[in-house]
Amino acid sequence: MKTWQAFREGGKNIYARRRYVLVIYGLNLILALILGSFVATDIRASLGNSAAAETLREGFNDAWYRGFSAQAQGVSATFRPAVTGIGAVFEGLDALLQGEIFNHPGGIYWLGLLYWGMWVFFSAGFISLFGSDRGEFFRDAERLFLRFLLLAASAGILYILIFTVLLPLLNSLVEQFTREMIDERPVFYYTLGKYALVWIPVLLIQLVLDYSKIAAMRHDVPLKQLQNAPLLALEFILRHPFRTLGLHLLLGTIWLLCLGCYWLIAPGAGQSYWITIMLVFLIGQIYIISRIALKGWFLASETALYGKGN
Amino acid sequence: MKLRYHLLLLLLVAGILLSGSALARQDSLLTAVDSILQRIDHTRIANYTMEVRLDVATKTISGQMELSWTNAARLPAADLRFHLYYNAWRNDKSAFLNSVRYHDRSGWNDYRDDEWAYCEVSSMKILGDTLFPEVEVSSALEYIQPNDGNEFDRTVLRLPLRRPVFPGETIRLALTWETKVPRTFARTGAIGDYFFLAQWFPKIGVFEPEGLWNCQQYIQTEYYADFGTYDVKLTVPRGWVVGATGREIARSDNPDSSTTHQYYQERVHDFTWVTTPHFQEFHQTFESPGLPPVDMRLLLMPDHLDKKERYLESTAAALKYYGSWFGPYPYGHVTVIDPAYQSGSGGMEYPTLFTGGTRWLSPPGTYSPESVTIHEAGHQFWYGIIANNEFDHAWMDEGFNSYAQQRVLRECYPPRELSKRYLEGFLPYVFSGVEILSRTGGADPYGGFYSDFKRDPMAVPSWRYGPGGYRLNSYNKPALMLQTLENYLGWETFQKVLSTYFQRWQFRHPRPADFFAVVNEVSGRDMKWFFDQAYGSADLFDYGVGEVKSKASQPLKGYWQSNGERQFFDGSGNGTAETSSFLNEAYIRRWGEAIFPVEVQLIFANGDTLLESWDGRERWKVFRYIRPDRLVKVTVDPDHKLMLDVNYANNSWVNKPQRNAAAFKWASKWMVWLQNLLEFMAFFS
Ligand SMILES: [Zn+2]
Repeated sequence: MKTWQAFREGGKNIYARRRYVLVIYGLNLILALILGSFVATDIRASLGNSAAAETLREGFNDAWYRGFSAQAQGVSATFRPAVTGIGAVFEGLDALLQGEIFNHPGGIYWLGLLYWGMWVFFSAGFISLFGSDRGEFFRDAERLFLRFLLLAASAGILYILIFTVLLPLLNSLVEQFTREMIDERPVFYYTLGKYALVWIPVLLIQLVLDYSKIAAMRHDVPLKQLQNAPLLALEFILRHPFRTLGLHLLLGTIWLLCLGCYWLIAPGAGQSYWITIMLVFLIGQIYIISRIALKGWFLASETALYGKGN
Repeated sequence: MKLRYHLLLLLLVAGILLSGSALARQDSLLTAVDSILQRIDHTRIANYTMEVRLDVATKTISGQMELSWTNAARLPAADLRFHLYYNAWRNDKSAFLNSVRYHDRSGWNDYRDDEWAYCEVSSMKILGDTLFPEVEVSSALEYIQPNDGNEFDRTVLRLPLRRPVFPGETIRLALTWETKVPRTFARTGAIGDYFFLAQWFPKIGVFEPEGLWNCQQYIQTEYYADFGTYDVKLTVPRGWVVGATGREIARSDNPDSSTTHQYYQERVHDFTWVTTPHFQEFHQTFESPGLPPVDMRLLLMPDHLDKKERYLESTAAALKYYGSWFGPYPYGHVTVIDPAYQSGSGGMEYPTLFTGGTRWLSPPGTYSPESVTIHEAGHQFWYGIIANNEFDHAWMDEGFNSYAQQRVLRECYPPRELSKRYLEGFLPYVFSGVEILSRTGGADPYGGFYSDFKRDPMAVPSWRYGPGGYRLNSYNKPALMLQTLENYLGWETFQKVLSTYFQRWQFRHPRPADFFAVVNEVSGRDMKWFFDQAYGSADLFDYGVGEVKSKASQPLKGYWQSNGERQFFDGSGNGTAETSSFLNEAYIRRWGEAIFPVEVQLIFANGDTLLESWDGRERWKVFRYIRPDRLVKVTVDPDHKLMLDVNYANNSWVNKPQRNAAAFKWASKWMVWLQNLLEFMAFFS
């Protein structure tokens, strides 16, 4: 199957199974609502009967915020005005790029691990759904979960190594190289190069992980021979380097487009009425749904590319 | 002149021995000394003529100087003391690096072997004249540690004198020295082929009127020196651009492919210079009605060429507003340095020269370079011209300047919005609509007061402030104190206070009491109560609204004399002429220890607004009204005059707060952040 075909078939498949996308989104929303209610309660309590609430409702009230943040505890301590608009994405993206995505306080850290585990489970469901004729989402997800978890955890070890060994090493190398530079531009290019060196292997590992999971499902690789799954994946990727990378690139571009669209429309801090506040929240939710759908699209297209009779 | 003073003193001493009571002797002596001191030109106390050569390969400066120094104190100086600031980088146990380590500042611990520094006087001699015989004194020099006794510290050099310098006398010294330049740290040093040279030469301390040397070890980056004339010849590689204190009055190429630049400046208390082949030079003349023109010379690094207009505009804004509010800028020229990337030399003030600072990507909303440029240009007034002792009273320049800087920002620029930098700080993003505190800008108390506000009163010498106390007490709190004072006295009066203080103390070293005296004198009020609290204590100002109650009053129940008859009313309201009304009570609280008079604004449901005053002395005060409407809003200090109030959010009460909408709005934004974060966390699944 060609890249473009796989891309289209993946899109078709994920659209046909959109209810699973909504299920995942629903879980994401519930988790966020639980923690969000703590934050809302804390903000509300801190405002009391103060007129600061009016300016905070209309825009932002920095004077209130500085008092709030100096005393906030738990998840509320992560509240900051930079979560506004596209900042909601930038804040996370910045942490992701620098390998600090799990550097968050207790509640959020454990929630993230839980959500990560959930996605391992769901990816099993999606892959078996798209990869076999009689796939059933939850039953297959359960059947494959342990194997997928092992594969994801092994990849996780590699990620950790990259961010705790390679990145610090490159950090100090770039620091040495740029130590005497008094023009910011070349230092910026060095920094970009550094992240490219970190993220190319990260993306390759992700590629291998995805196809390992597909191969594990397709060939029903037993737990004891699970090490064969990445080998099969590697073999497939090496046999079709342009198709596999092309598909990744294509879907990556779609994500960038989504991000760009959200950047363009993501509203700032200026809403003061319930209706506009809700509307802004909904726009954010559409972006989150598109993120989840896109992740499903990745899995669907890759499964399609891997093919049935491979 | 000198001979006359000397003879006069000898006569005085003889007179003392022959005259009557000890007290009378002392008095007459002091009167005589004062009359001598009055004739001293305070802008010519420490005058330097220097010839220096920078060797860029070895990063050393070799120099010779002639220093003439006048004793402007009431007592003789038995020794001379010099700062050798670069010895702060001589070893890792100097007072400065100890202090840096204590404050967890990094940047020096990865120094390479050739990046350590020193400043050594290789020879010193007293130049002969009618007062002093010419004598070589190198062997008498000794290092002293007046602040901490740390023997590893060589930042203060002492020359004991065989014959003291009497009040009004001038001594001349010739000395040669060598300075090894450190890697840039704490706004001085070299990186690549960029040399920023501040605190680089042996510099004489200040002999205070009380007859004590103020020549402190280099513990933190605050300085104090006397005014004088600097005539400096700087030899650097040919083609390198030089920026320096003063004006360039001569330039000549030397046979060894170096160039000598001669800079000259009177009435300044420091000399700083910078050189690199990379600068691009721009000039613009500042002109504003009623103010003398100023030649603004801008030296820009190549990655910031697009910031040219922004640098010049903000420099002009500072010259214009500071000039019209406080007093005109007297030098006619100023050099604006755009510091090199990672040179750590940005955001610092020197006489007639200052460093701004910006990034390659820095859209207008980041206020970089505007904010720092206004601040450092402003220091030309509060530091350069009003030259308080920064070592002990850093707030007198940093606080005044932060206050005035925010005033200029409010005059010239839109309110500041949140901006953040991503990807290790390279990529900026401005959050439009998220307004951050701009009234005091970097000078707001909220961020730091919970932990640091109560640590030290401002009155503690700056170099002794505890952790976190330095920034708070040198910048934030004094800026808020001055803004509060402005609001209390009114701008018209306060502007007169500041311009009088500026006029009276320019080219001198005022102390806190001098400023307080000008406030009292010009405003015609005794503000001791305010300064005792805001300056002399660490007490917090915090007023707030406590309980507010609005109860519908009940119709009369019981007897009432009506038309001469006793009538009984049953509480149903029937038969009485009473109209329904509310009993409104608003309790205003003083949560902090400090006291300040406040206004209280009360708004009723029908829109009626009352403005009450409270002297703020008791712990609480209740305002009671029986009115047809209930209270809907109560605000203490509605105009936010008391900028020192550490929690303004508790200053208001509304009966229908918007807290649900506000909390949902911001929590929902936070949720989108979290949801997105969860997706990123699942990236590795
Ligand atoms: Zn400053």
